[in-house]
Amino acid sequence: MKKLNMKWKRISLILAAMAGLSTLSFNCAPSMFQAPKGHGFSFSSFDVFAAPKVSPYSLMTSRQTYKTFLNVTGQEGAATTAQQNEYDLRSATLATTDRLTNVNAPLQMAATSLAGEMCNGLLAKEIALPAASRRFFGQVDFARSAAQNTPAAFDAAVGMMATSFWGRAPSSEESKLLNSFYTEFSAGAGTAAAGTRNLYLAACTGMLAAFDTYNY
Amino acid sequence: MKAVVALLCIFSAAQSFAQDRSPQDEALWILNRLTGVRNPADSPVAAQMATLITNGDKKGAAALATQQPQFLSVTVKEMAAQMSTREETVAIPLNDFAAGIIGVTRDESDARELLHGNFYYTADPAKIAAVTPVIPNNLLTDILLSNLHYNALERSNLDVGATLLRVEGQQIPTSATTSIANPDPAGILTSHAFLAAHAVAGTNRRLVEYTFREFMCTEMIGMADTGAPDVRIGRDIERSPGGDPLKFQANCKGCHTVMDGFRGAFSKWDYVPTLSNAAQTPGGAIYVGNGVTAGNFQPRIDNNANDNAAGVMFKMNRPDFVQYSGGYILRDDSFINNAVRGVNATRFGWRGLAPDSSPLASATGGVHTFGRLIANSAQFSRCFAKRVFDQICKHDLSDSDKDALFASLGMEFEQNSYNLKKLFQAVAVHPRCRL
Repeated sequence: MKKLNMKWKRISLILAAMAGLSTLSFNCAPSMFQAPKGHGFSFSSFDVFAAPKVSPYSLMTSRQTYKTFLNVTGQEGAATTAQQNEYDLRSATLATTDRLTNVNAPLQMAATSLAGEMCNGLLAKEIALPAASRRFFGQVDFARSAAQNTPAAFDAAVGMMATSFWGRAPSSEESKLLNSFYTEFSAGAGTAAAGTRNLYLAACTGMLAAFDTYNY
Repeated sequence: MKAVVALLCIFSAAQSFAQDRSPQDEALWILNRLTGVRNPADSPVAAQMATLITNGDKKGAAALATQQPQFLSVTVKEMAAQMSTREETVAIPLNDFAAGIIGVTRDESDARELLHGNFYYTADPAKIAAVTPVIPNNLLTDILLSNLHYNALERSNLDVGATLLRVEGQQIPTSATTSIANPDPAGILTSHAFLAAHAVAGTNRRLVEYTFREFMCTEMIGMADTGAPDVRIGRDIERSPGGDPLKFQANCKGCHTVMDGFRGAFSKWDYVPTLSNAAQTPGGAIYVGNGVTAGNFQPRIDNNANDNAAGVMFKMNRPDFVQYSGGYILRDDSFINNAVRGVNATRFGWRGLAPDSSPLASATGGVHTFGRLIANSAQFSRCFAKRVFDQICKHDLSDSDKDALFASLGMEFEQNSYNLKKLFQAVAVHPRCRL
């Protein structure tokens, strides 16, 4: 029989080792998954294929989002049937885990729809109160048109909504954006008082549905 | 030059981030994480918490946060909901399993009784009497045979945590209109939700698998031990899969020695789903000795003449599917612990049975005894520490950091008499929690 040269001897050795390793690992699969000896105990990760969570921020799940919307709009414990129904419709599209990678367009649309219903309820509640007792819209006269209300009233409402919904004041960029929205909306809102309600419904919905509300 | 500028930017950002950790910022973060919802920056509760933090009392601040209704109805509920079903999702309604964990947390009672206690939590009838829409409250139709009661409770505007009432003495259904006292109560292990998820069909091995998965944070593959004795492995497990006995010895045996060793505890239990017939004949948990001799609630026992095993459910011995006639035949609800060798011994930290003052304290088998064994182990405490950490802190740690942290939190949990509320508070203020 021809003797193997060094090169082929090395190749044979490597192949033999690989074959042995694959057989060994297959046969001993259960013990390979045990924690290393002397480790005591360890928590196996159930989510072995997911990237580790290293962000200081976390997304809220579906029910957390719903309860947050109620909480920051002061409607906790008083959800209306319409709000509950809207949540039932949207809950499957909102997040089921706390991973930020869950954020997608359908989720954002669902959050916006739910926020709209929450703001509907908030406005109904606050309009029924005397101005001095309102938390968000104390300077707004809902009996007047948007143009007849002041920018200062809008600024005050935005400030309160940001404090409640986002836990902070709006940044200068956010304020610019909202003021630009206010100017355009007021110009086209007409003379009816309903325009005022629509203005604040839109502002509230946009701010409540912002990402900053449903992450923490 | 550019590198210096970049470094300065990073430094100033880091400083800025560090400076953001004012007592007010800390208070709001702890409040948000413990309640599971966002709170307004000008929340009066956050202001009180900030004062406590300024005075060096972070745990006092956390205690304030756990007084808020959302702590129980959102945070604890979501943690519990994930543990209650096979899908391990938060997207399910409140159920009796989650209500049990919420109640024990609220009442600051010993969490070990979650696995062996003879109680359940339901809405206080006095608190739901005037609520509309009505919260269905019939023990059988709405609690034992369905989840209607808890579903409606959660959908109402009531504060779930404040509404729950502890009821002593579990019941199991014997028909659509009758029930008996549960002969083998084991806290939430014998809850409707847990049995509906894991005791339906199969061979009751899933009950063992998920008990370890949910309360010991350990998958079966992680505790497999091919060196343990295979005496208790059932007859339905092939000893030469594909004609290769080595495959059984090297693979199958590892999980089955442990799983089959323990599953005897559940040998008298079954769960039968509702029949989809015209009458929607109800289903529910079934116990071997429930006294029912006909209908959907009649236990299907092992009546094979050769088995002499009329005391256990048919599915435990599968006389219709014998793959290895020398396999173990279960005849009672005894079990053995085969997870005691090598790594498993230190992994679980077995310490005998949890104290129990009930008439079942002298039992040597059944789910009640199994629950006491699990609940008294060191891993039970570490696992709850991990679950609370995951729920509140929401980030990963390295393996070595995890082990050390959960060991120390677990010990603190035990020193506080297994008080879950205090565990949540301790985790929320732990320096490793917030990134």
